[in-house]
Amino acid sequence: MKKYLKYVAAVIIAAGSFGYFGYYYINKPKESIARKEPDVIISPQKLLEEFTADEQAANAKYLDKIIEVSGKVTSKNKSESNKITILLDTGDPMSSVTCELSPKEASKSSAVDEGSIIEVKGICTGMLSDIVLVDCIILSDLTD
Amino acid sequence: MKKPGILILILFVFGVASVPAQTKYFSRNANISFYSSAPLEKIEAHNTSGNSVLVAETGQLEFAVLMKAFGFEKALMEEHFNENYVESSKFPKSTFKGKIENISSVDFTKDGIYPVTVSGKFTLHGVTKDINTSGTIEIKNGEVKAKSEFTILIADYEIEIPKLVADKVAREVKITINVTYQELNKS
Repeated sequence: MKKYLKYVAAVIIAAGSFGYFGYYYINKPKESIARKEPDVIISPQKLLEEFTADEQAANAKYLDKIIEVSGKVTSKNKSESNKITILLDTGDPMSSVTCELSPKEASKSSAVDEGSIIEVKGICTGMLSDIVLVDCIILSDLTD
Repeated sequence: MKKPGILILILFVFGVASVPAQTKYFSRNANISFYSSAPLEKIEAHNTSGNSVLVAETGQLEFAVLMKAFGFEKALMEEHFNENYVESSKFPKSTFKGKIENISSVDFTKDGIYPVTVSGKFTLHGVTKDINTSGTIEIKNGEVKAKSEFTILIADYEIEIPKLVADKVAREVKITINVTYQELNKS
């Protein structure tokens, strides 16, 4: 009788923890890249150069990678859903590096303005007219 | 015989010069979201880095958006979206190329909200389909905003849903678009 109970208890605990971790896994929120090391450190100019020269090759090299760039802010926008986007100068007025900030960075971005020089890391999603980085974290403000 | 030649030349020069320049509106932070509600789970994702161009005279309208830039609430949803459904490494972009059919009814110099009908080609997951939808153009203090909403069937774009979850993922997806344009410098 005792043995039987032991088995039942073991099954219940196993099922419970499986369910708990399963639920956690399915509902896991998106992880921030704040603590992750960048895969690539590159200048906005060089990044644009590579994407315009051979987009497919650049996609293969940079998509889903954490990219760290530093450059001059040409504009800062806030979307209707309160997402903040910062554009970095690449030397080409038609193409920038667009950095969509992670929502937690909103407070840090208030110090950032047009003309600021900042260091940012984010996940590369590809190129439209701009190269787009998402979930960006502001690392430092290098403006003197 | 020289004179008619010069006259034609003059007419030609003036003719070209008097063709009205196209006014282009551009946005590099178009808001594009999609929603799908299924019995088990509501799925929504937002993208705020879409590009769009609107030509005021012809009504020509274009959008482009990066699939990987769609942000989801849950990590697993985003992973499934990118890897299993839209295969965003293979098809990184989704585009729309079309026109506003009744652009002549929009007065870009006068404030107001103008209803418009849009038709064109929508490409997703490497598949292009014709779509027709309606929306609005809002002019306010010289600012141009566009809004639209349309529904697509996932099956139309050859996006396969595994049988196991087929009942839990909606077959229809609602896409909403919300853009604030800037006038492109004519220089």
